Amino acid sequence: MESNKFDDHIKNLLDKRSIEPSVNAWSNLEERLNSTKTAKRNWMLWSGVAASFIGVLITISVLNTNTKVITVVEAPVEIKEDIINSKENSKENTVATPKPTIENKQATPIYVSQTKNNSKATLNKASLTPETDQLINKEPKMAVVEKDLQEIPNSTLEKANSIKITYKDEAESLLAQALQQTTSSEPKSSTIDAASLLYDVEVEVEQSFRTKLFATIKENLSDIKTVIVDRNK
Amino acid sequence: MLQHILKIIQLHTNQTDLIKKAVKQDRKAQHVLFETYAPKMLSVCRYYVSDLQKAEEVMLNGFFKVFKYLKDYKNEGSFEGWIRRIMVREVISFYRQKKQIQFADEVENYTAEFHNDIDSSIEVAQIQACIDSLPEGYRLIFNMYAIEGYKHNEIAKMLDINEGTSKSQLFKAKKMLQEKINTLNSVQNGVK
Repeated sequence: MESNKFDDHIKNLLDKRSIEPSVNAWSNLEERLNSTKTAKRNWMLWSGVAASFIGVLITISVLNTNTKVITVVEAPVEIKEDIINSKENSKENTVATPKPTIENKQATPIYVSQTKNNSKATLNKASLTPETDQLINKEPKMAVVEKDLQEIPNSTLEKANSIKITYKDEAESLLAQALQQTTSSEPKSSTIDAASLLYDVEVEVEQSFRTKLFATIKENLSDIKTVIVDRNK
Repeated sequence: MLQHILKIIQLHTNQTDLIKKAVKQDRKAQHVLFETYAPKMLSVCRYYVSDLQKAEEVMLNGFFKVFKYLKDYKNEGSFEGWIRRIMVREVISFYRQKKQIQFADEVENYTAEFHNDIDSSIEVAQIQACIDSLPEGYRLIFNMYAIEGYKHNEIAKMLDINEGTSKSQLFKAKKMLQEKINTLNSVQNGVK
């Protein structure tokens, strides 16, 4: 009991006391409070800057992805122009064949040079038709492509359709050109052996050119299919 | 009487408004609160820290935390008590930073009696001087127990010590303080 009184006495004495802080006590405290506020503001500002930077990065990456796809899809258009130009000039056939690679997704044109034989080539329409028709009307493959194209967005689908048409047009133009050449270079004299000429053409010129052309078309078709399948994944 | 009650209600309302404003970082409101409680809180810090400048430093750290965590104050209990608890915690962290607290071994017997024979002419400053002369561990526990009213289990938890250590430190502190006050009394009586 006495012990409690002793404590209480000291407590009462001390409780009555108050000590005035120094004059600059509040200004020191205010400075600290303000610096915390500024630090908070700075933190918010920097986090905002960081967030917007990340946003810009994401946007750029998304745009880049889209651009890459467009590059791959649009690449075959160059083939058409190059082939047509080279066919029209047709002294030395230089076919620019863009070969899109999936890894870097950039069209790398591969130039396939072919020097035509100076001998006058004659084409037999009958000999061309089955193979060309087979290639053009590759219904199962085209059906697969069309099926894939239905699953992708409209804009891409339109581009893909245009490519399909391009290939068809290209093949048709080639056929027409070949036919024109055939009709224009019909043998006027009976001394020329058509069979031997045809054989020569088949073996030396057209066979290899046609094979390469169709191989290129097949390759591009398969590339397009791969791209479409990859995108759908 | 009625006027007195009305005055208290008005003060309470004003304080609640000030707290609300201070939570929103209103510097004027914070300044008013500081001006109101700083003298008392500096005195509290001075119980524990003998150097007045350091005591003020501790008090400013305490007020910084008061304004930082003011949003957590639920208007339950007195606002002064809430600030005071923050100040005591700040004092403990001050001692921890200095790593000065040394607690002696436990004492088995706490049966000694302490007599309330403090001379009325003894001033607060003299009592404070007696407390200041105690070792820091004694002073800390004596102030927490005798002045702030903490219990031994609370002190043990806050200082991360045994309850027995708290009791023994208090016993030794009181014994030492009693001796000093007795000396002071004899000096005062001799003067008289």
